[in-house]
Amino acid sequence: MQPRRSAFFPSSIDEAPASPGTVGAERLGVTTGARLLLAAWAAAVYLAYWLGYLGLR
Amino acid sequence: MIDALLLVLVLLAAAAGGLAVLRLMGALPEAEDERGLVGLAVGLGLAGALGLALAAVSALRPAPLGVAAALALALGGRDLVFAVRAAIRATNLRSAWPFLLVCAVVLAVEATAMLAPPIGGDQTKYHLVYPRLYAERGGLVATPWSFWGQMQFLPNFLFAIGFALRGDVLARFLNAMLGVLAALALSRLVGRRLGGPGAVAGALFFTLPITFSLMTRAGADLAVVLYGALAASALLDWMDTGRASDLRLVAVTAGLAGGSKVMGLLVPALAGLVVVVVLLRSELPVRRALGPVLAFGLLAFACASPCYVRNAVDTGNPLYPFGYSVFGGRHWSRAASEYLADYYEQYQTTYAARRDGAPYAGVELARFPWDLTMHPESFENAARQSLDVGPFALAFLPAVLLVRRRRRAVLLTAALGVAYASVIATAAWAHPRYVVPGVALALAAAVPAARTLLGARVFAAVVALTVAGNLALTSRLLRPLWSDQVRVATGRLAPNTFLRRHSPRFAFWERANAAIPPDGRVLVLEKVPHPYYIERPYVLASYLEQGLVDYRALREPAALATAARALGVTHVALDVSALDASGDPFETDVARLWRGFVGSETDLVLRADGFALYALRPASAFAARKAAARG
Repeated sequence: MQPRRSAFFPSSIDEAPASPGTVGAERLGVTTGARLLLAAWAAAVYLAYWLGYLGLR
Repeated sequence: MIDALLLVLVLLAAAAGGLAVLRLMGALPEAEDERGLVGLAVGLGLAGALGLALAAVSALRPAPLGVAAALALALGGRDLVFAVRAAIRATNLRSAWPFLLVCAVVLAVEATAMLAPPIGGDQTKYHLVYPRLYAERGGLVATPWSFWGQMQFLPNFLFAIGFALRGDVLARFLNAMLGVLAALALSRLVGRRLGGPGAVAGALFFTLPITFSLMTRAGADLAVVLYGALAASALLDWMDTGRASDLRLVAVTAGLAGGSKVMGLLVPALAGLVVVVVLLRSELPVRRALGPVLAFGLLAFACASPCYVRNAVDTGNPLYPFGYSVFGGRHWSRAASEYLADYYEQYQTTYAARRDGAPYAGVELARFPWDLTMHPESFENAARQSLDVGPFALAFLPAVLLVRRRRRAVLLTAALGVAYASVIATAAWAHPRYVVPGVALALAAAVPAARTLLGARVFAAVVALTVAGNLALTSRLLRPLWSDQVRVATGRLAPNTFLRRHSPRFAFWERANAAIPPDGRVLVLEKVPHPYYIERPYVLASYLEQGLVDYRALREPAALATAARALGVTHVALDVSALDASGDPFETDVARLWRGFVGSETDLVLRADGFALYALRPASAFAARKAAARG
């Protein structure tokens, strides 16, 4: 099934451009920071989860 | 083997019936290769409604069920053939086969457990108890001595069909089918609507330890996951295309979620809210927008309503025993409602101590996602892994903010999942099993989010590790039952020996059943009875779960004996530990009453495994005259 465009929802939260080339340096910095933060959160969740099972939390 | 054959026949008939009804409503999915999945899911929900209808007219028998199946196949057989062909054509196993293989192994392990008699969980309290009762009698049975008799929804009447056709194995196979379909529906949601790898989403859900628990213990939660995922998919389709058929499919699937469990009513509520918001934001005039909203509401109500209508007819309260202050209800009271609420509060307090906490209040609810992931054992008397929802959703849900492709669909799916879990946790009960439909949607949204965050290679490694972790934890759930379940499945262990070995409750009831004559009737004095193993007519007289025998009015042993005799009781079964219960003043009073009752009005027949069976003495001539004069 191909991606379809919204009939009802042409709002600001619709698909944004994905190409990094179109993203400014400042925004790219924010995105990299956000990525690192989100990756750190995910790693912390996995770590806490498994430490709990190993009885180390 | 016969169970598997009957399962296939039920599934074929349900899918054909579901497709026929969807065609009649003009609600068939546009994608032909999805019609089989959606038709089967809707057909199983409608089969539940059929089970209730047949039970209501005392026709819950194989012959009427066979006629209904033949009719469904005649009306929808052609659609079914096309749907199966389309699904086969569209199946691409190139990248999905490792996930399918893992899920197939998990399913085989679960199916083996289903071949042995059920043990533990709410299935022996009510999910299988009343369906079996209805199937044995061929119709509905009035059970005013337990509100669980009214907590019977579409999946339960599907189980009743399983019992009517064959027995507990078929009933539990049908429960498992709801889980398999839920995984497939989540896979379709992610693969088709969210731009992520669908097979990954299906496997992540299907291998969760909590999913194993839900697959091997019959209940209604998997049905809500299934219909919630299908409703979310149809909603996204409708938002993309504006097709009326998609909106009708949202209404049908969301309605079936509401018909599967009281908490499932949140699915049509949330879907309806999205529909209203989308229509308000569109350029449609309000008058033209009203039509779709009304159509949605009516269709969702019709699909959700059968079991609530039955409850309203039986008790005067569609949500019985909940909502007493609004609807009232027979054999219940405000005091009983308050006591039940106190019990649940006490229950939550007891287990919250496992996370060094207390039941959530106010902003403390913000801790729930963390506790849900890290301390699922702090919500119920269960091992951590039996309620474990895995770390994936909590770890990667925040990354939805990074997703650009199908961003709106991913955000809406995440929002629906979070909203479902939040409302249930806030307004009902923050409990892993109750929020599973929301967790499943959050998990679905987290899949494309994780891939965006991690990139393809790291994502694949994380998925592999997560699935391996899920399997490792699930394997711990196999003890202590699974090896004996395999023996039962392969005929090397008798089912009763298995039950005797693992269930003290069965061990008692096996002897008690033999001691009570077939025309006897046993009064069960237990706070939370699990009556699945009782083979004689019974009346449950809990002081928590019913109001027919009202302990607020009965204060003396003789009065309880008179009430019991009026119910035709010949024997009394007692949870011996209840005699020393003193958790609150009411419980202390009831324990005193029960002590006096069994001491002065009964004779001990047997005592075993924490339970005791007594014979109720006949009324003395004087007492009988007094009762007759009063009566």
